Amino acid sequence: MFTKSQFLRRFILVVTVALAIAASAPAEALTIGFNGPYDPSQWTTTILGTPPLGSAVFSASHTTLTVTGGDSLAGCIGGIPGFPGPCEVDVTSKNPNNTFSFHWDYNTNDIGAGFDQFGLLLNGVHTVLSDLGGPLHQSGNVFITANTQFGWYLNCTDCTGGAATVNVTQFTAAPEPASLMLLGLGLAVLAVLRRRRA
Amino acid sequence: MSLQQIYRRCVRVAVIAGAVLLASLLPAQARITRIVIDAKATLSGQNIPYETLAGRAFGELDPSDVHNAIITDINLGKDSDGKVRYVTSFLLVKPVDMTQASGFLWHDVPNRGGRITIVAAERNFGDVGLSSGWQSDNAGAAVGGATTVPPYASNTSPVTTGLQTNEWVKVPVAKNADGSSVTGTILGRIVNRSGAASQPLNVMGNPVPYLPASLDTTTATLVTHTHETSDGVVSVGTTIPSSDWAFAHCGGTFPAFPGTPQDLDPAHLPGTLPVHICLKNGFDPNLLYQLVYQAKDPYVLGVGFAAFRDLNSFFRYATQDDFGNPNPIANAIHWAVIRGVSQSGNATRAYIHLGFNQDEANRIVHEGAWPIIAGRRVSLNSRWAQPDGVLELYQMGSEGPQWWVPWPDTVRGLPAKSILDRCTATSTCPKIFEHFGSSEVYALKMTTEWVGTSADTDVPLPRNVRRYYVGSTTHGGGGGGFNANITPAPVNCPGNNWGQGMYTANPVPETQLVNALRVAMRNWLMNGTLPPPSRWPTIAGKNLVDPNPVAMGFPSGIPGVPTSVFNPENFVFPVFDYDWGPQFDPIDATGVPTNFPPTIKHVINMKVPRVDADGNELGGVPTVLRDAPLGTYLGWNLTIAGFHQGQVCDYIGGMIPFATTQAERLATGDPRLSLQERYGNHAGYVAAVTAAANNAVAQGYLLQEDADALIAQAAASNVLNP
Repeated sequence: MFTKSQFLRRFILVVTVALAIAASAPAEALTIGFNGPYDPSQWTTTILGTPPLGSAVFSASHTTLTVTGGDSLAGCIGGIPGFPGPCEVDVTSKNPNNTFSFHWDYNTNDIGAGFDQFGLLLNGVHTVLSDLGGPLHQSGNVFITANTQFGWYLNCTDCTGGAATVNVTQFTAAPEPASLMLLGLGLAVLAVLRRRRA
Repeated sequence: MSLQQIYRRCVRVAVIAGAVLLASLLPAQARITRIVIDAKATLSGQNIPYETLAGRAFGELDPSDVHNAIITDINLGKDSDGKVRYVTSFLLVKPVDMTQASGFLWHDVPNRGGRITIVAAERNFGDVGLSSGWQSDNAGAAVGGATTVPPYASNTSPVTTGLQTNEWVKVPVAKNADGSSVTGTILGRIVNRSGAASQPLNVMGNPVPYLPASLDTTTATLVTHTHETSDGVVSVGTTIPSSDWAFAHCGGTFPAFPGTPQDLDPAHLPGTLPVHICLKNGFDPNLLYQLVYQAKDPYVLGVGFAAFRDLNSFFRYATQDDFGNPNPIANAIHWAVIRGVSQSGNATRAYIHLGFNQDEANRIVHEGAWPIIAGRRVSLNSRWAQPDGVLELYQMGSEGPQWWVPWPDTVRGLPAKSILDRCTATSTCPKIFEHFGSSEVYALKMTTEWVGTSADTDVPLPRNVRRYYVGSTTHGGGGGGFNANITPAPVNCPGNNWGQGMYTANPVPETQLVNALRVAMRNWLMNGTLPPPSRWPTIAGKNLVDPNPVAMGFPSGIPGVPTSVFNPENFVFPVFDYDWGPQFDPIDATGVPTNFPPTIKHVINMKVPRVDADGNELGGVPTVLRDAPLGTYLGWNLTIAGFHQGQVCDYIGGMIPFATTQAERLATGDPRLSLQERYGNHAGYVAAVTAAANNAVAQGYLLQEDADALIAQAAASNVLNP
């Protein structure tokens, strides 16, 4: 059985340790939406291929990124239907070393999802997210850790037949150590409360 | 004669000689030279008067024409004038008044000779149907059956009696330059047979079409296998001494070993097929018997593809034949679709691959193509081909590109090729639908088409191809219906006497998708209306995975599903990279295979669809019964007994019904929710069917009239409706 002063001392100790852990974590805290280090100014949009087709636009509220793939009657020079080609919209973060979660919503006006491919740019690798044999409207949630590169691509393959559009929403960036800290803090508080009851 | 006259004569002679020389160098206009209508009949069941015309077409080919050069052994089938000739059967189904015709023709590829009459829905559109021969191996288990060529084949007058109702093509037998028989090595297998009676050499249900070159068994090798796995591991038993077997009939009405010798007279074909093997000590049902023997007289089978091409071209473009017989549908066809199911779907793909969709006048033959439940290419255009072969060990059909865009064949070390290479070069590619079910994934070696031989990337589709996968279906789809009181009954495994499957037949139908696609194909060709988007499981979409229960997410504990079925030796039938020998072209699957049995150089990795918590497949087009399930619908079955016991039962799918109540499922440890748990009551089930049907309609994969019918069926069903 603790005395009141013992409990207070221990509680202060736990809180102090927790705050120390928090202080040792990277500067990035939990970011919700395209804010802070993930403000629209902290992303690089690159439109590849000839002619440069497509766009990437952040909403004024910083809640949505809309990527539109290329589409024109002339198509993409060198583009082959269904094969990832030279025409692509890339959106990459200037602060990739983090853990991210987001929701994506894909819609293509082409004849099949395989003709406009959406995915992650992750540590130098294109990782497709859209189902090439799936419906024209698709969506999903992603939780992933990156280090050297993080972003999205929308490759229009031949870039004709209808454009694809992807909305990225519910974006969060949460440093992994912060997550651990929060967990540790929670456990510590639980331990204290249990001892207090005992 | 003046010098001027001499000069003029010389010029005249030179011009004539030049013309003659030019004519001899130019390819002759090979064509259908004659059509004969043997029988005419009326056809009911549609909204305008229809008739059928059963007939024969006589054709000739110039072997030197580039459009025919791909045909294996074509130069060994020439007549004395250098032409190669054939006769093919056909059935035309047409409006009596052709002004009522739509201009759309379905050219159906018969499956093992089965004649096809277009369905009433197509006749109600005013479409024309054409069924004609392509499989020219003159083989039938019964007279008039399968691809048997009738005795009247070459009669140039109409034949009114004894008409066969199958489709066939009479093609030349390849002969050496001196007229002697071509001989070579082939292979035949006998399985699940017992007793002293002789047994047939069959491939699927039809005879191996080649006679032995002699009755001398010392030139052949008959071995037994004690076991074979699905992934190609063979346990060899013994070699049966040549003195202990014979090419002969024995047992039953025939004398005991050595029996009555096999009739080797080619003039008696095909009535003397199948070739029989008689064993001195009888057949042991625990063994598979594999015979490698010298055969004679191969057919020039590739001529069958040319016959199919030229017949459609005649009906599309000609007004009459060389003898003034009119084309009964002249100038009335503006769009033609080649359509084949299963074996004949594979024939459709092979036909396109070999460039037969361009006729000898460089015109497109079929504007559309619809290979159905077929993900490979049939073995037709090689010497000793056995086009009835499907998937069993040492059968061809997966050689070369199976995909629609140039794609490297990394495992087999072959360059980037596609089925459409030839027609792309000549701008004669059709618009293509392909639709599949689950049994094609498990038994019919299909996913190589989707992911190549490296099996690590989705192979793209070109814009002229649509792919539709109907998850959790058996080969060709099941009988449909909504029945919660299924009486368990084993099903027959297809194939060469394969055996029986444990699970009751999978009812998930493909009929409604076919109905929707029929309309979509017509609209695509006739109006340019884009069809529904492709839908199939992909690696990128995480719905196409390795064939093991963990990757598939297959629920454990479903009653009656042993874990052993998922072992590689029992489960998916992979594509084998066979070494058929140096005279065989592994890309085109042409030439002369000489290695029997062929060495398996590689076993190619296959993929399967991921499944949901019920074991039903993900990633395909929405279908009502799969989306409002009454059980687990499998694309595979489990062989109950015999040589293949415990393995997947060829290409027949099974069903494992849900329990009705929670108590029932708990009693058997069934992890799947019962019907009551998932639907509550009958109205709940009807609501689920309605939702599934509406979803499929909204996405374009189900016609509204079919949706209405399905909902009505569900309402009238016994599901939670005592």
